[in-house]
Amino acid sequence: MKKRLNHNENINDQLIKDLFKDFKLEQAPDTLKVQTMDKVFNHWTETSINYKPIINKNNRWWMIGGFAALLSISFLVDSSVIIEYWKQLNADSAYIDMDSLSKQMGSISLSFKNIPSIVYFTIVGIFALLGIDRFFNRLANI
Amino acid sequence: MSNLNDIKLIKLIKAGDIGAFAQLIDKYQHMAYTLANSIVKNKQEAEEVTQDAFYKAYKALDKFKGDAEFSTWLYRIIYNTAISKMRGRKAETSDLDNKEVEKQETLSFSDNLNRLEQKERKVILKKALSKLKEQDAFIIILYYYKEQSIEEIEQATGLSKSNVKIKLHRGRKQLQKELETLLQDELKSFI
Repeated sequence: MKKRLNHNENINDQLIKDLFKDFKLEQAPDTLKVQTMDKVFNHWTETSINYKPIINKNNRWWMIGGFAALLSISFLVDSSVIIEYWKQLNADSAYIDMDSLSKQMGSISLSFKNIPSIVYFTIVGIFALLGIDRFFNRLANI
Repeated sequence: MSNLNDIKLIKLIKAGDIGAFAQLIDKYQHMAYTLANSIVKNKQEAEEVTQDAFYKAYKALDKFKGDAEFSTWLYRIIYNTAISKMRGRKAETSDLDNKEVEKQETLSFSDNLNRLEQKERKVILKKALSKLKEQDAFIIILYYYKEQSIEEIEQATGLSKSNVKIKLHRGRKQLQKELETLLQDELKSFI
């Protein structure tokens, strides 16, 4: 009996499915879209648009750190020039041991010089790509 | 694919392109209106419900994460808005419960259906759907017309799986009953 019922239910289920093949949706009135868009437009004009800054706080610190590192590297590379300039000013070298400073700076500068230039270019290239990718991602999500 | 297009449109809307929302309305307005009407069973109110639902969807667009299809998310808003509208309305006594359906044993349900023209079938189906209980009609349309799974209907209504199944079963039975009654009337008018 149960099987028979299930069988009948399946037939009716199929019949309803067939019936729904001819089903047509109710046509929404034209006013629906117009009036909804009016509401949406009013809401849009009333709401202030807040843009998120492209560089957020975390990124800002990274950027400042990176900039400081870049400055210090450029200083190390050109330290000999600065020391020469210092000497020309006849600064009192009793307080600052310029020779040892020069030696230290010189050795660090030398170690940087020994690194093949391809490494610098690669690092700069990678960071440039990361930066560009992040920039465009930000633009896409504004 | 359809959902991908919807997601593209949603991104545009979030970027401030209001015109993209008009495209979403174009795409879903008839389905939304049909579903709203299946619950409120009044064209004027169905339009109000659909408008409200689209407006709510626009305002809540930031909450749409794309986990489910946009259509399912929109149907959920339509469902909730329509149910709220119904609650606000004075409870009307349905004459469905008191109606005695005469059954003719001579002709089967399928025989009667086959006797009708396609156009008449459409009319009869709409009439039968309008007589179903609100939530049942909504679920029946999603299940049979949109061919959504029980899980998708669960998401669209917020009802539990077992509840959806019960309502679907009850709706199917009621629909069949209404169809039978309407078919008998229709066939009687031919004789």
